Amino acid sequence: MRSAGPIDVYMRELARELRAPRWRRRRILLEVRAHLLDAAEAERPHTADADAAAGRALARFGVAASETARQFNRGPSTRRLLLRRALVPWIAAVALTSIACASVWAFQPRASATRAPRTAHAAAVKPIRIGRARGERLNRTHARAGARSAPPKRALGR
Amino acid sequence: MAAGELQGHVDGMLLAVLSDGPLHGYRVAEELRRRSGGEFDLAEGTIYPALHRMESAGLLSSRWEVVGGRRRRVYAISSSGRRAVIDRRSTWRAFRGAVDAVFGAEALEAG
Repeated sequence: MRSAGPIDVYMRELARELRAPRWRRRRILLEVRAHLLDAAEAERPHTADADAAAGRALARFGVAASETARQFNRGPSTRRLLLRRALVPWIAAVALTSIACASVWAFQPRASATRAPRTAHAAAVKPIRIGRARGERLNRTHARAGARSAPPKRALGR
Repeated sequence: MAAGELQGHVDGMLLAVLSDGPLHGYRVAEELRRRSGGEFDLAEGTIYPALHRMESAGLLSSRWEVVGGRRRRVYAISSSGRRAVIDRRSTWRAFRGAVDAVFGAEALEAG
């Protein structure tokens, strides 16, 4: 059985040292691995075997796995990255909803525009505020009199 | 050139390389070496944390692509990244001018 090559050893150490959310760890590991494999391929014609080429690729990479991990760990904090990842879509959704509500509110026809026009008679009646008992008494008086000019009930303080 | 002398200029040079078009990390390292005529002995491993940092700062964007049969993260410069390149270029020119002036003055004194 073939032992793990130098690149595999490096990648295992890097994976062990990285402190990042799973999605970020995966991205870093894929990027670094692709880079090392490219470099090893470029070095292959100048070396005796694949392991030697991998060794030269790692020398070009120039940084120990623990140091590479330290540099990544020193980047934007995990909490900040997670907050950004979670909050940005949430803030965008809230902003869009607010804009949509504001638009609906702005373009909604005003209640006064849909109300039936007031008749000349209704317009002439001045609304007054009176107590309930007096209003009922007045209503009874008008009902008895059958006055044609009785003001609408609405105007009597209901 | 030693890596220590490049410290502080790596981000600007990576942005400058990417301002010509999107590249994945390995190609960025190759292009940096090619443009410097092999002078910059930069550890390739230092490129990735810098790329990630600049992406977090909004200077770069990235996406997965399959290039040469291998899945790679390809980086592209953003509009704020382009502005940063212009800023860093002018800062570098001012710095280089000042260093040239100092060396020139010393050379005159030695002569």
